[in-house]
Amino acid sequence: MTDTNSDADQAQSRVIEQIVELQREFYFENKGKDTERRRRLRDIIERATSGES
Amino acid sequence: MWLQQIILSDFRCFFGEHSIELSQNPEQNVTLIHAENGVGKTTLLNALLWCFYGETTAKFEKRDELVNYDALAAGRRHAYVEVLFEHGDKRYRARRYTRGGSTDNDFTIMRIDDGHHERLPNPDTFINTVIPKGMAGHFLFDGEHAEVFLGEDNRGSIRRAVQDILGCSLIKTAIADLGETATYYRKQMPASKASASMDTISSRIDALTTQIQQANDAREGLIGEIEIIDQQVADIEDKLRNSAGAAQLQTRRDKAVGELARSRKREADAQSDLLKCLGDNGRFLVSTRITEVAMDHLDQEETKGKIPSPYNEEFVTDLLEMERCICGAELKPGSHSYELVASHLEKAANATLRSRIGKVRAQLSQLKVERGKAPGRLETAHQRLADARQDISRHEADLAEISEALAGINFDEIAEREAKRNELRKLANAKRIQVGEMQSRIERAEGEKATSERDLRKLADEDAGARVFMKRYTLCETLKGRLERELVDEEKAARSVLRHSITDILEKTSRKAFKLQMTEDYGISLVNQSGTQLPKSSGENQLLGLAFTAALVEFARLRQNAEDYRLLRGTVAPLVLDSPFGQLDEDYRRTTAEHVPQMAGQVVLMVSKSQASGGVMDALRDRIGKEFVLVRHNKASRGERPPEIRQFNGVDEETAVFDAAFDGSTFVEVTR
Repeated sequence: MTDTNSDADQAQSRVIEQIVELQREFYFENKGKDTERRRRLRDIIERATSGES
Repeated sequence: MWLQQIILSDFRCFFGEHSIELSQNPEQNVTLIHAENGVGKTTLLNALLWCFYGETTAKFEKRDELVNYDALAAGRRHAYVEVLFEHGDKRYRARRYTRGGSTDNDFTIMRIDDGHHERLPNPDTFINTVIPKGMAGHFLFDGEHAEVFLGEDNRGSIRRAVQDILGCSLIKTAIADLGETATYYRKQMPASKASASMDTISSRIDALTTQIQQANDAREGLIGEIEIIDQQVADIEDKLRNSAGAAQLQTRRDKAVGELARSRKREADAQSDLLKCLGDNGRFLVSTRITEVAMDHLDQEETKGKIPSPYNEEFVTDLLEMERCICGAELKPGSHSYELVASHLEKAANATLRSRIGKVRAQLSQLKVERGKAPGRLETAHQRLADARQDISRHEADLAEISEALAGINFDEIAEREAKRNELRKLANAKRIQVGEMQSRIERAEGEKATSERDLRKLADEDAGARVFMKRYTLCETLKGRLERELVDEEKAARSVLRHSITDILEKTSRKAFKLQMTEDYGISLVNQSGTQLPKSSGENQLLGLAFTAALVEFARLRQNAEDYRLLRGTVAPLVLDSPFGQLDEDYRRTTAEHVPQMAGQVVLMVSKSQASGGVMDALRDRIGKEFVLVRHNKASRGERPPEIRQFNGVDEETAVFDAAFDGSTFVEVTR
């Protein structure tokens, strides 16, 4: 159970890393493009959940 | 970052091209710019902000009209600001050029290597790595921070400032995006047999989310109102503490009146004691001579044989009756010897007389003894009377002094304040109850929302089409919650650092021994050693604002090499302070001026004549590396206006020029 939680935590951390990286990219270079940023965020979320569905 | 030079061309009040070079000497790190109101201090500060980020502060009027009016009249349509700076051992030239409006502009940054200029591909990205835009506003102090601790939105401003300097921008936008995306997925769940119920639950979740948000906003608002009321109460209590001086005077007066009455009674008692003492001991004192004469007389009479101490009447009679002398000779009645002894009867005394003489002697001896004690008794009675009279004088003088001090105090006003304080306390307590109710409402709504989400999940589990959206929704909510918790932890650590920094700075600059309290929801208050909240004068608010800015700058420096991927790194940047001493009194100005050079590696300080007082200049003198005056040029004639001349290092400088060729400002370097 603990291993499962730990794995889930690590998986979440990886997703967060990707999300923050996306935010960083838009913070510096693509400010104001909210729709595009959220579309790419959905891509990240969908990839992260695709294996489980 | 170290600023080297700022060049302004046809930018606002600067007609034509003007430039200043800033001090880069770490020991003399202050560039001092003297300028009166309306001459261009705020323009210079905004020129930096606009050059780097294409934005100006909210207070900068007519933000879209950046090109100088005379330049426009002369047919020129462009303005630019150029900043030369050093960063990471490299030199750069940042330049923003406008064709009129504030947004219609070009921004370039060139890296200068041995005279060779290389244009950077992403200047916005680069400048944000040098000083993240969110942090820049905290390095350019335009008085906004002085007010950050005032007003209802103060907690929001402080929180934003802490988050800015912590580099939370990425986490914050990620949280907002995840919230939006979660809602998006929840609404994407396809129509199915359960869709009607799911729609209902989803709508309920939306409604509850709105309710929670509104209740949170209302709660925040109430907490802000309570803080303002608490501050008002602290203000009144401070005044009452001063009035407590009046109350203390009143108490002192009551005490002095009591003491005076007691002293007066002691005086009366001492006076009667003295009279009694005189009555009791007077005879001893006045009988001194009589006693002496009487004793002498008794002694002399005995010596002369007038007092027959050797013969007593009974003894002589016995001898005559026995007809025999004490020498053994016969005493025949009628004989010469008999007649001789019988003649002693004339001198002899009987027992009664002897007893009386003895008593007289004893009385005279007693008088002598009491006469010795009498002066001491009288002296003591006199001393008691004198002491009582001295106390009376002291209490009367005290009362006169208290009366004078109380003459100017309005006790009705004190009572009014007392009533106002009680009223405000009641109001604050009523609002606290409202906060509690709001909190319960939030908790109920959150509980209901959680139940609705569980119901939704259950329904979605039964529907394969909806399940995937539910997973995405759940992941978004989970990640959002995790980032929110991480942000709270980061902020908590940042608050602790900032609180210590601000307290340290206040200890060096403030005359009051107070501590800064910063609550979890960014409520700021100053408390004394015993934890009582103190009121903040406008000067102390400005001091607090400056201390906050200094703490932010220091925190940014500490974080310049931070490795956390979620947060933007801190930075080392120049601090530009526009009129930081406005509300401070002379002593605070001097102590603050002593601290200003330590606030950042490079400091640009803009002050008006009234701010650059003797104490400020004395404190700064050794730290000034460059000094300028902003001179105002006017095309209009002087008319009746008196000349405006200031002296810098012994040289006269006219700070307002009339009949000039243009309207605008110029920099004049002060020779040091």
